Amino acid sequence: MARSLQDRLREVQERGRVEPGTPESLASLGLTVPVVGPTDSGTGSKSGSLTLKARLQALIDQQVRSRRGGFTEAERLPSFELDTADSGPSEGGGPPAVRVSDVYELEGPPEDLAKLVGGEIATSIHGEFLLRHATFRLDTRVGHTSLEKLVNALPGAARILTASVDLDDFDPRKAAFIDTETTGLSGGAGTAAFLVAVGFIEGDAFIVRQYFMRDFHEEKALIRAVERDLERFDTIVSFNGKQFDVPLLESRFRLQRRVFRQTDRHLDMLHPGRRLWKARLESCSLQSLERGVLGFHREDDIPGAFIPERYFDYLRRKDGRLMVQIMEHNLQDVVSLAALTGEALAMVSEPEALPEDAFDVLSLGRLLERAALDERSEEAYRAIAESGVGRARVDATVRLAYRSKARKDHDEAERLWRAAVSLASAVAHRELAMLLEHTRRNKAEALRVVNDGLDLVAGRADVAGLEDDLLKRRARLARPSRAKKTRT
Amino acid sequence: MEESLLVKTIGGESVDDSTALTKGAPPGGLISILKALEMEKSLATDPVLVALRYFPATSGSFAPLPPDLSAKLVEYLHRRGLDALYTHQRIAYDLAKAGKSFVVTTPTASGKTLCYNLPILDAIIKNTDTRALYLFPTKALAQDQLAELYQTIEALGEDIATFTYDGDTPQDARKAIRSKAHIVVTNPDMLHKGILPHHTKWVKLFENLKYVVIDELHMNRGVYGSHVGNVLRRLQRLCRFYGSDPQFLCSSATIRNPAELARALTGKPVEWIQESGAPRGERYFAIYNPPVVNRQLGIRKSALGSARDIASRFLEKGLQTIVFAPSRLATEVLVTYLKDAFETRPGSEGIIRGYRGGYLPLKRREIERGLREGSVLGVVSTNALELGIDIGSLDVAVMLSYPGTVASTWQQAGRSGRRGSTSAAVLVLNSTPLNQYIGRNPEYFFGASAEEGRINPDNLHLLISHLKCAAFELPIESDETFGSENLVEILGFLETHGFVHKAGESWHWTHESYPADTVSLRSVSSDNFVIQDVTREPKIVAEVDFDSAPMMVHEKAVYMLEGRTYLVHKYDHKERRAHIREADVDYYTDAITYTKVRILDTFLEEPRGQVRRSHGEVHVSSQVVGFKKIKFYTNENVGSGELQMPQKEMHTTSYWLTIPCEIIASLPFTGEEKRDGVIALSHTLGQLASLFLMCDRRDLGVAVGDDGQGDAKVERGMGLVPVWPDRRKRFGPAGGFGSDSGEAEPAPAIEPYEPNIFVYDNYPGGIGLSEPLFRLHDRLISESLTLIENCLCFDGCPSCVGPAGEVGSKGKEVALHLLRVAMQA
Repeated sequence: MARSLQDRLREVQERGRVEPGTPESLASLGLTVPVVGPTDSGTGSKSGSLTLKARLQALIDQQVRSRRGGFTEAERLPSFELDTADSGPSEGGGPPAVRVSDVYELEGPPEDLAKLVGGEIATSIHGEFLLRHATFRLDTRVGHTSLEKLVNALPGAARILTASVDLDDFDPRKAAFIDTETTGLSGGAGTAAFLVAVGFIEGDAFIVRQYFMRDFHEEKALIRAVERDLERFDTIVSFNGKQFDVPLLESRFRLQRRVFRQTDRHLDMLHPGRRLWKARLESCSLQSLERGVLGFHREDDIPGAFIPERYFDYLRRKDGRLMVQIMEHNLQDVVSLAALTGEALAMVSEPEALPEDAFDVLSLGRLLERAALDERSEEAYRAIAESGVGRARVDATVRLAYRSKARKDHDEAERLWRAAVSLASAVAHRELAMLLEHTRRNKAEALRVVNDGLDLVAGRADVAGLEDDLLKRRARLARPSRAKKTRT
Repeated sequence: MEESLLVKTIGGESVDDSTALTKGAPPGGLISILKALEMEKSLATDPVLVALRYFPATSGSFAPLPPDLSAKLVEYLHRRGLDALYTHQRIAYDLAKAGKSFVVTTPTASGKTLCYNLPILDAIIKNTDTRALYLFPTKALAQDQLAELYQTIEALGEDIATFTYDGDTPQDARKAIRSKAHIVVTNPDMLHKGILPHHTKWVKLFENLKYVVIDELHMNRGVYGSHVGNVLRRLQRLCRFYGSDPQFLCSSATIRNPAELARALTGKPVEWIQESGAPRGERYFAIYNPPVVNRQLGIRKSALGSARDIASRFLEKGLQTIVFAPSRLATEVLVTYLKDAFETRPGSEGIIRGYRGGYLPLKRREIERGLREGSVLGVVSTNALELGIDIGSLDVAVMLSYPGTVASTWQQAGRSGRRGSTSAAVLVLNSTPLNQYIGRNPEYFFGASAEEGRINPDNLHLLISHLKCAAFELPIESDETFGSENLVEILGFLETHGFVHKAGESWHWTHESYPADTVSLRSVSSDNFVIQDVTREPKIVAEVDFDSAPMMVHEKAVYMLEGRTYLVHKYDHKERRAHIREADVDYYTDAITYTKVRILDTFLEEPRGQVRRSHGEVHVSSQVVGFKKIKFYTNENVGSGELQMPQKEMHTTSYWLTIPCEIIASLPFTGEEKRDGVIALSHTLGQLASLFLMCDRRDLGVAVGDDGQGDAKVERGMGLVPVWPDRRKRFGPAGGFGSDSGEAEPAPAIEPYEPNIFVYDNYPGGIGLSEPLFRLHDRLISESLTLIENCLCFDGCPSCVGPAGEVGSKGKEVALHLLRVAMQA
């Protein structure tokens, strides 16, 4: 027809606004064309989802702004200290950090990211990309711990953490600590890693190399460089890398016609992290673990959900100030990952030093039990069963009792079940009743324990299965004794 | 069709001809029923069996097994007693081995699947790296084909891994399938959403992809086909990246241009294998036009009642019969009738079944099995059973009303046809102009080559959606080709909206969304409504697609499921859910849809005779505004109700006919009569348009408006009862139903009244139907005139302009006037 492609495209665009139809029907037609970016604003109240998002971001910016400033290169290099106190703004030297809030108020010409973060442009036959090194002494404090724990851990500690023989000979000096920042969270071939951090130990330093693509055409050189870098290591350490980072890198390697090979030996700290700290902490995200385990919290961090959009904005504007915060975020992720790994390895390496928190001790006990280190796990349980309080003490007593039961140490088991019963453990009632009925042949007391147990669980939905069990048990315990009476 | 036809003249004595109705020994019942039908007369003189064709049995033609066929396959075929192939199978094999793509259109049960299975299995046996992708239009078909393929592979004793990969595939099985499956069986939707966007996990498949099978190729037309065309473009882009270049092996029902459609879909040259070498039993094809019962009103006996009667006669003789009904509603009504008639004896429960989309999978499998094993004697189905789902071959197919396309008609008829015995198909016409056109011109039907499969993958909406997906999958290079539009310009558009970003000469996806999730290949939405029976313990008993939900399960609707009636008491649009409760009612409901059209832009406008034809873009909004209650058996309208349902809107392209106001003014009729005449004319135009465009009726919408200013109010029922039984009550000349305020304020003879009759593409953005309609304008006008002039009724009937009761006593006369004026130079 006579109309130009431009005219028709404009209609496609307008349709996104004209249509007052239900969003779902439009979306499913692919008709919504959200108006994105700063180029298009104020074209009516319905100008798409991003306006709303921008407003949301501004809100978050304000909250972030009210906290203290970020860390700078100058502060970090000699000693990387993060304290937990939420004290006033730090007035350290060096260039002022760029905050989330500054992003849409950037003044003046775009600035060069390499200069802002102290990076360099790496060049190879495959092209260029931005490379930044950050070096930390191993005794750098991270919260209340340091990276030294990484190298001091016992051999075999990683195997205990994961209960996997693959990592029996884990050597932190041959491990690459990785983290990626990506253009999306959905997965699939359209999600790219624009920033890859590789951390490793060299001598008495922990070095982080950050590979950043300033635009998509640099991905080829970036992937090749990451590939070459990773060749030196025999293990990947990550946080949720099994689910996210590694499949993503595999996909990006494929697209560059390479094969990501480091997939066999992988210490994904998400899982040991949950095992060790889930009992105490509600959330086991990396940042929760930073707060709850390492003992600090981040200032001026960019929320992960905003990272893809920020990068897209950077692609359009090529202003390095947009990326500084993400570079720091990514660096912090790797340092925290290393510190956390050290903390976890240390926990399982030092039999004599139990954690302070009772729940952590309990969790450690269970982790050791899972790794078939019965003696050490019982030591941990015993410490809590004897001196602990509350839930942890009950659980530790129950775990210990189960261990005795497995060893067929009936006396010890009975003592522990009675202790747990006195601490109002529902499951202990069942176990004690079983022991009394089958081993001690004391049906009368067994029935009493069952009845006590039933009183305990009455109306509690969380132990409904146990209630059923106890009811059946009571029925059975009551029956034969009646039968006996009629016979005699 | 493809066999030589022996045309039977109509008349009592020829039926006794020894070549015809005496041959089929066992189904003597079948012959006698056809005989009886042929003797029936309408108004004492006109035959009701307007055509009866006989297709003699054919013996088949064979070709030797290919000399290079792997020994395993030769042995397997020998074990099955096959030492030769049908000629079409051999041609297919040779083409595949020569690296060509093909489409085979031989009839149902002619061994079409072997056409692609043989070369593919052979290739895998000879090189175990070979990979093949099978695309079936539905999950059900995929399951069915897979069962057959499994058997073959097991009998072969070869390690050929074959898996379905669709929404139902368990997560933990997916990884193994991705790397190990030689044959991946899936559907275009899953390819679009689940495979292409994750291609980096399918390296092995893409690197070694040699064959892509597209089964039921003809399904890939219209909007859906245009989507699939784009999905295949994306597939081939990725194949190029991985260094493969697959051939396409396709099968299709008979359409006019299978090779052309295949080319349009795949972008490759495709050979057409047309001649079947398979033997067939003898068959009859009859067209039955229900007798006229009231000549003045042009009323014929109801098609639904006739179909019920005819099917009953066959069922009484114990002949396994399938009845195809045009809608889900008609399906359920017919099931109710036939169950009433045949499930009376104890133990006879379940010999009559219904089958349609919306039944849950397990139930469908059970019915399919019942048909194969013979425990189900009669089934009433929508076109859901038209496709290659294996239900065995039946004795009789009865089609309630013309299925809309020649291809579907032959496909449905092909469901009957047993090798070595006699079978029959009966097409029962209803009273729409389209059906009656065929009734008067059966030669048109038999002579017509089947429809064209049309697609327009370059529809800008579709193209943009799929370009987004393509960019997500692999950066788009500036010099790539993807459709015929200027790619760089479109990418520039996408860049200004933040979807892609140009780096060097390639365009990268820069959006957080997963674009394939926002594009559904099917209709408007991938959402469906679940239907929950809350009579007792709530349980989900059926589902309905998003588009049909407002019509099928609005509040107070009667929902029917295999002969049971339920009342909908809650329609939950947000949660996509309807609650129904069993209710013993003696009526069913039919929804009334209300449509408005507004002109946005006129691309072309041209005076034609005294009228104008135009083509342009329009805004269409439609809404279900009410429903009618219709009594079972008598079809009396026993009440109605109003509804407030969500409105649906779209922009699309349309053809329209404008009748200038001075023409209207010059007509010797009242204002109201003129309006009636215009509506009457729209009725005819819409029907004939879908016939001439040979498109699915649902791909077109029809509406009347006043020069783009006024509203068009045309209701679309489900097409079961004569439409518009009491139009006057519902919308007076100026009034609307539901949304407009006043009721039938007698229209002031508004001058100037300059009406438009819109026939539009029923898809956002248009799918390329209205533009050819603009070109077909002259033919549309002249054929409409012929149709109305030759109709026997006095003042309008469902076969021409709609019944007088709806279009007024002068509707037909005005329509004729208008058409004559339109023809004048």
